[in-house]
Amino acid sequence: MTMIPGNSLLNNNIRKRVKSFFSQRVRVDLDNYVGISLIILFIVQLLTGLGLSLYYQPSPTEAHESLKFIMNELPFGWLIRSIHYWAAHMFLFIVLAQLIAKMLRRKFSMTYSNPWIVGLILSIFAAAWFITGELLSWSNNIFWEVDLLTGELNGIPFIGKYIRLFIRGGEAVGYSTLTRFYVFHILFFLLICVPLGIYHVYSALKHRLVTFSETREGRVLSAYVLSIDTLIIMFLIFSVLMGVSVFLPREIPELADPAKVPDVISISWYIYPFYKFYTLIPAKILFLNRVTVFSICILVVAGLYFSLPYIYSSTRNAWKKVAYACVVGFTGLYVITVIWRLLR
Amino acid sequence: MIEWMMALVLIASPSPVNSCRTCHGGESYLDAKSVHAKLFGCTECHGGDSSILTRKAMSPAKGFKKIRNKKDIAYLCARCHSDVEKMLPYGEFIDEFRIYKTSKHGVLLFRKNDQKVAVCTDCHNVHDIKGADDPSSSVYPFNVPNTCGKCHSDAEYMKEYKIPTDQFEGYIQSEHGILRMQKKDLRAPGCPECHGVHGARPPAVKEIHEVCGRCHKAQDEYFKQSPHANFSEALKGCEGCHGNHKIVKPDHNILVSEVAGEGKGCLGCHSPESKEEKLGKELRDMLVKAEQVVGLALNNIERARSKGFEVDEEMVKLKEARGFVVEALTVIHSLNRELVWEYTQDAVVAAEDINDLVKAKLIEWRDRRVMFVFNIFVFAVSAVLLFIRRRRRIREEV
Repeated sequence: MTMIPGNSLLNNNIRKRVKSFFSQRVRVDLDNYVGISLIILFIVQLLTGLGLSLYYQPSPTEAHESLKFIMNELPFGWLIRSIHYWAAHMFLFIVLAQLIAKMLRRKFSMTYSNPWIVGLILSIFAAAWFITGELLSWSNNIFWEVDLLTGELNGIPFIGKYIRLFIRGGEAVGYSTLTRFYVFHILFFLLICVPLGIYHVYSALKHRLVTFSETREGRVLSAYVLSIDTLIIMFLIFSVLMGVSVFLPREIPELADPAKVPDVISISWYIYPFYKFYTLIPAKILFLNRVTVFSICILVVAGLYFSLPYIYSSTRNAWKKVAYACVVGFTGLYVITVIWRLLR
Repeated sequence: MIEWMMALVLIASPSPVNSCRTCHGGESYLDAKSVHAKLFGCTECHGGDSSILTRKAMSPAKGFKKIRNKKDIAYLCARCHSDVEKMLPYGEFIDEFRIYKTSKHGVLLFRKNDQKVAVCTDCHNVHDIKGADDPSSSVYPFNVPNTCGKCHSDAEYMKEYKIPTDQFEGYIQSEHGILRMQKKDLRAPGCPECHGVHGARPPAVKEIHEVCGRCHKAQDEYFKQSPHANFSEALKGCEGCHGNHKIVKPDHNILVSEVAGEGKGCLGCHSPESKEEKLGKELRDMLVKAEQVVGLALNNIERARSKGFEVDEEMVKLKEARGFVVEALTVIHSLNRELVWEYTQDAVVAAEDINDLVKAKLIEWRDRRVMFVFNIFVFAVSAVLLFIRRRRRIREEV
């Protein structure tokens, strides 16, 4: 075999470029590892979701049968579905943990306003992505959960009826609800979240690279070490996902039955705090009904979260403290209620 | 003077005026809620002339009918309710009065002139008479036991009849009472379903199994084949073992005990060490074994389900097995050992089939765990090797 001089030069050139890439020095801290975990989980979700979508049929008559096929006849179908389910849980947990960590470390000043706001939007989309996926199992509990939650929307003055119709795709939860949840799950959120996610990573990294950084947080490592860390995280995540998927595999749920209301409708853990708060509101306050009061409260609290960087940079100390205390308080309440729900 | 004042009231009132309401305001208010209110006024029952606002309105000359006793009430109601032509438009029965006279209440009223017994107005109310389909009615199916209990739970009122007054208390604790009163299940009987509606009376001992058998048909058929059927009168039929009002769901120990709820267990009549006692034990053991095996099969199904396996076939088989147990519980009324054994054995075989099906799935689950251990090993080794490489690289970079 003869060596072609040009080819050897090319090889040397590539090697040099690869070497220089991996020799780059980057400043990393816990946030980077959290981000890497989320990206790994996202890729796991994409791959397992792709596998599931080859066999899943989004119709009330076929959904349950196709799940049975995936779980019992498709080789490793049970593993793919269970990993998809548990990776989604892990994803949401890490998103929540990331939000809390950012909040407690006060990473929401104007410097970090973009990652903070985009991160909040992504968190909301992640939860919505999750619930659209849950309905695809077409289980009796999630059927009635969606029916209950979307039914309550009707009470919002003027627009409630239209929001409900939009989400359900008709008067009742049924075929059209399932198909639109399917489209939202596999396409809509993907198209929205991927560009937003890339922007989120870019805007977060902008403050992290040594060359750009004005901070002295974290630790300086080479890109090579960071890539080894990424592989270690990947193996750890795979181990955990394999473990929970083998020991706590996703069950084949009871088929949705519009004529059979479950004794207790179990509300998903990430929605439960909102639902619990909703049930504590009196049916009528002055001339406002429960769902209107709830919507106003949620809008106010969401506004507070989103405007936190601006409040923090432009107002006086006292208001800063009040806004920060409110945000920490609300998040704390949310976490306590989630823990209470999971332990119950 | 009073009559002058009443006349003034009548003149001052807007016309047309029903003079009865001027004085009998309370009754009129109740009457307005009655099913009769839309159909007729006071005079159709009481007679008299409502256009006169003096005492003459209630004079016999004006056709006023004085109600002197409970018999008059029964006759008064029967005037319309026994009339085919009057009842035809409403699709109502016309034999209530005839049946009532055969009831325990009717016999006491018409033969012994007992004025304490229940007559139409005691159950249906006097003026606010509502249909049986109105939830606020005293004769609405879920309210009937309370209506009967009004008198039958009053020890003082029932003293002279020398009958128990714990029927209502027993009934609400019974399986029937829980289903009807708490779970609002109309399939469970209230008082009239066993005792009759207008012809209410306690069933004769010989009739008890017929009354119970109206719903529990299969049990009655097997009971008729049992040795107890020959001594039905002495043993009080179904009541002998299950009691009458406080009929609780019997457990299998009824076959080996002396007392079971309000009724008797086998040993309540048969002596220990007798062949009947032996049979009771055998039957109990068969049932207990069948239920245990079916319970175990259910646990296995749940175990497989929780591991993500499809268990439809097992669930169909489980229904079959449970069906055999229910059949055995029915057949047991015949006290036929062979027949009970047949059904319990069918249940055991079906449950064992389930266990075999589940076993194959649980073996697959074991294989999954083996695969998991192998994977974890690969991941752990990879992670450790990477960690060693990382440390070496950091040292090199420093």
